[in-house]
Amino acid sequence: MLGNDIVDLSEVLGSGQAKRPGFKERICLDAELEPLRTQFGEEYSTWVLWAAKESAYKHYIQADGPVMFAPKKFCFTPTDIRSKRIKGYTMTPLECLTTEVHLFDSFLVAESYTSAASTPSIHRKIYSLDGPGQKAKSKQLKQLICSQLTEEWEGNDGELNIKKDSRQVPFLYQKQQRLPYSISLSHHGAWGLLSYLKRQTK
Amino acid sequence: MQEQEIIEKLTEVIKTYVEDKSVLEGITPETHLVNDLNINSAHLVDIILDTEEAFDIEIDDESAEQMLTVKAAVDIVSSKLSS
Repeated sequence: MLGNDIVDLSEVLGSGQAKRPGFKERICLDAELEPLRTQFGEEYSTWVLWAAKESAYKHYIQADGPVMFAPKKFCFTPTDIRSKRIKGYTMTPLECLTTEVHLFDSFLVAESYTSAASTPSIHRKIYSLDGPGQKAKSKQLKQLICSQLTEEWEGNDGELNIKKDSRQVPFLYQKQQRLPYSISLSHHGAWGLLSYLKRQTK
Repeated sequence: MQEQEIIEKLTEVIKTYVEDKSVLEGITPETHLVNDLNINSAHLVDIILDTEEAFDIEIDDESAEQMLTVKAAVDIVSSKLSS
């Protein structure tokens, strides 16, 4: 299983959202911000934490955790901070996950996966979206993913499809058959993200 | 405050973060803020903060956890107003 998140930096930095009184306090503890603040600044660090926690939440939902909105219950501790990647672990109400946040110029990408002896081989695809609104972008993202995977896997047009279950967990289907991949989708602003790995267990 | 009044005031709060305002026409107590109204999840924080301001209440983290549907939000506001 894995969860991901993407944050369009042009949508959030400078918008003042993370600087709003009470905002960061709803998302994280000061102790979580502390290791990041010096290097990245408080606003940027808040979004790094947000992305990390969102990706962990999506993993938690895939693991059948009860639906809730409680970012502070997903505590991210960085253990390896580099200029373009922050790696650490996230304690969720269910388990401890490995979380990586990749820092790009235009966006942040976070992926959380079950901690194991070896790092899983996560495939990642990032898409530029231009749909007029969230719903249109969501549809566009699914179309781009299916189209690209069909080409890469040399499949037939129209066979791949992405469906979400009642808990909003996405699954990849070929015709009517669910494929053995854990996938996670995100979009924000002008960017869409697919992360997937071959599923071992579920 | 009557429940209808709370719903109307909450809808005004929520409206700010809904891109496609037409989805608000079909709003019901079961409407999910993220899944049905396509509100970006980071804006849930703004909705919680705006709700506190609009009703002059404090929403603790435990209550905020459940604030994912219109009904949950109404129940939380009602409970805070009456306490």
